[in-house]
Amino acid sequence: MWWHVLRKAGVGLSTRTSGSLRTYLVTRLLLFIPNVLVILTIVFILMRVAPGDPVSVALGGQRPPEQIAMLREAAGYDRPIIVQYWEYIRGVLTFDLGETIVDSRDITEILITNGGATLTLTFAAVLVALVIGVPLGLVAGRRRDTPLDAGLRVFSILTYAAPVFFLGLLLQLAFGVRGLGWLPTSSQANAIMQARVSDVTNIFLVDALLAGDTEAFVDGLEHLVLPALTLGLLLSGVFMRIIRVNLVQTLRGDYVEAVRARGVSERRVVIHHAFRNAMVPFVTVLGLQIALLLGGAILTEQTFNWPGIGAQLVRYLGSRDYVAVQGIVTFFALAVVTVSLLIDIINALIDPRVRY
Amino acid sequence: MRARRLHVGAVLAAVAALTLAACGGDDDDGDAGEGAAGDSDTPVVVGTTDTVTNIDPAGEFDSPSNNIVDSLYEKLLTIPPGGTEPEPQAAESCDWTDDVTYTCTLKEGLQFSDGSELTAEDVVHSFQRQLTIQHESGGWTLMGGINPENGGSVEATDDLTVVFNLAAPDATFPLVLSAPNMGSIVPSDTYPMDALQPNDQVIGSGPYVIGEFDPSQQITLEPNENYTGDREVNNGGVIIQKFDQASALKQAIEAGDVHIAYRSLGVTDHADLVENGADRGVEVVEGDGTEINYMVMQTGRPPLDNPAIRQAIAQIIDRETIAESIYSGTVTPLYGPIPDGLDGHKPSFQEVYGEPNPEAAAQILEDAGVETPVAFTLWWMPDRYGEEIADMYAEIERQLEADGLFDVTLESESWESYSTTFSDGSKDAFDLGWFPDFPDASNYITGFYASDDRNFLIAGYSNPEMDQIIDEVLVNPNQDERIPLFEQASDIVAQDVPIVQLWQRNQFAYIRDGVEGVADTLDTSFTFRFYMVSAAEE
Repeated sequence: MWWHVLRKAGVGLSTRTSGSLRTYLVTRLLLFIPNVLVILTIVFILMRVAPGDPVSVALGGQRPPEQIAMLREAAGYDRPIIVQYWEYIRGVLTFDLGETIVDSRDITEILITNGGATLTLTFAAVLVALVIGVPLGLVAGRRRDTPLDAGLRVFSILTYAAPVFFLGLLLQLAFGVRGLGWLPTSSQANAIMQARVSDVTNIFLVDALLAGDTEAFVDGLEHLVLPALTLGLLLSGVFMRIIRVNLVQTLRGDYVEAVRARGVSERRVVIHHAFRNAMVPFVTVLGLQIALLLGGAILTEQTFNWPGIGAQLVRYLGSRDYVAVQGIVTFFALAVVTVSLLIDIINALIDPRVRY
Repeated sequence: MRARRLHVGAVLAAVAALTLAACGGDDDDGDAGEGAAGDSDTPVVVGTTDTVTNIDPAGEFDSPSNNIVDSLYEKLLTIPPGGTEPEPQAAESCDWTDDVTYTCTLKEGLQFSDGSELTAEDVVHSFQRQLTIQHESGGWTLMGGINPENGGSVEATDDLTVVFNLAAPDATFPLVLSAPNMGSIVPSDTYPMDALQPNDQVIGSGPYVIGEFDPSQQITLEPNENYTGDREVNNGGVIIQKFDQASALKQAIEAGDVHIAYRSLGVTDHADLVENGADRGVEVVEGDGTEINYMVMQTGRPPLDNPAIRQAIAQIIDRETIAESIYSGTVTPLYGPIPDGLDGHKPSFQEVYGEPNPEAAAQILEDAGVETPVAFTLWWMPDRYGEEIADMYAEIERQLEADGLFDVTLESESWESYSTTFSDGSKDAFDLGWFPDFPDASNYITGFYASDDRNFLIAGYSNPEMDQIIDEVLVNPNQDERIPLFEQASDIVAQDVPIVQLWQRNQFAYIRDGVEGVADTLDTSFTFRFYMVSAAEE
């Protein structure tokens, strides 16, 4: 059914859902496995490049040597490296990323508890980026080489180049208590609201809705505005540039000239014909930005005291808890690889040129 | 056209916002309940950058965890607000029956938050499990007197009577019973003997029970409906909100997102709130603190084995300048081994050396026949005692070198390696800090100046007179007799100068209008008593 929906949308979908697409999908799925293995191996090696083992590095000076030795043995750091590697891979496959060293927390539980906040932030940031970046990209592409286009291109460079924490601090200054006082500048909710809403999904907005607490939901939205705007602006510049470039190229296409020659209005040419085709490569780029999104989320969470996984990563980095860092980085790496796979699949479905 | 208008409008709005921000704006937050009294039903929100590690008393020995443990459990004894001497809490009475036997009688009718009765057996269990678990946080090491391995014991002679049989006289033992991490009473039928209780399943007999426990975000304390103790709770619960950044905590207290900000804001943030906090509805509350910072001299070998050299250093160091220019007044110069606020405090260095005087220092060195400049290496840590430490030691270097008497080489090392090397005799002089295990002057003397294995610095200092004083204060429970001994110890330290104390730091809390009770809890015990504070109803 959904093939027909996409066809109707006129997104250049091939009706030849033949073996070539099937081959592509199966091949990509199979390639996902070695991709993941390579990523996990790189993470494993990086965490062991520094001298010493994670236990000694995290707790050295804080525990007697004999306790350090016991903890090393319990964590398996006295075993051969190849055994450690196998145990690490096995742990990842069974969703057991171990326990943090400094405070003995289950890392999977940290990801679950704090993942909702990061998911909320990144989802909202993508929405902001789409709302800002896509229309501006359309305008810039349509008004190519005009002062408006130049201004928008400068805007896109500024939002992309500005350090995300700097942007966040500016927004805090403008809209926080030291400025207009319109919006809260830290945490994902007022402390009392947060205490009031029970954790069901670990996504505060969803939990507030489930609890029927409208006040808490609105409070959560207010707290989300500035962090989402900060991270979203970072992405919007990228989106704007890509939409603009794609639109400019598409508008130069022969088929667009043909449509114009048939007397179709320019507005309809841009929106119904050029824009849709300009969005196809954009889908690919959207997936590639996941790494930028997660990296920006780390800094955004730090700036806004947002209780996401990124904030936890920074905390454990500061404590030199490399087991925790390894677990969180593994999660991020897997997220990027998985999203890339999904984007490749979607791209193949909507673009007949993407085949093996 | 529509897109252009939209674009221009957006730009204008952004420019307007930034312009307004640049002009600044007074905080016009409606201070909820400004001038209103605290409300006993309103939950208090406390913001902090501290990390809570564990709320099973057998598994923690840090200040933020201690504050929560103190709220969840009762102890036989407690240090009252503003005091330094233990007083009964869960106990009706406690006293020495002889030099090594300490007997406590519990109050009748005490119960845990789950409704079960609190008996002497629970007290015994609480101490025995500390000694069994021997958690790496180390609080149990201060219970050596009742450790069976040393010949001590603790027993319940009936439902209400607990007898502590110490291996040797220890005048500080009542202070051990009053420390949250050591003296808290847990239920024997719930808390395992050999393992920690999960943090979300703790049960105590204190004025609060644990609600949510997520130390990375929020910890909630709810009033204990089965509380049978004497502490009067002035709020409807406590929400401890964790902030990763001090700057975020400062914004939160300015915005009114938290009622209290406690530990820790940086020196510049503190100074800003002192100067401008009132305009933003924030009051800075200062209380006694006994955290100290000090410089240890390697007295067992050259170049600092010569007392004249150490005395010259003590003569030069200008603590006032350090306190004002480096720490903006957030620390107080410390002129003796025992901080102000504790019995036995004496500014002995000020009495002996007076004002910083390089000429007098030069005379000391000349009289001792010491060639100048005296070269030595001075070590400090960048990752342990705040970012101001670097500036402090740069200032100390400047002070010592200003008149050509000393040639100081500054070296820094991270805590990870520093903690294993400072006691190996390799450092000529080095910086350290100290939080007390309990508010008693002996805690600032024994580990620093004893000549036996009680000394954790192992910097070569030995003075038989000091050893005698230490032995006496540890066994003599009479505070009136101990105080002159502490003062005598301070005099010895000023003469021998094995350590130069630099400053002590007071405690600071930052509160919104309508918050009450904070000033009363900031004292030398370093325990933040949540039950005492209240916030105005919003």
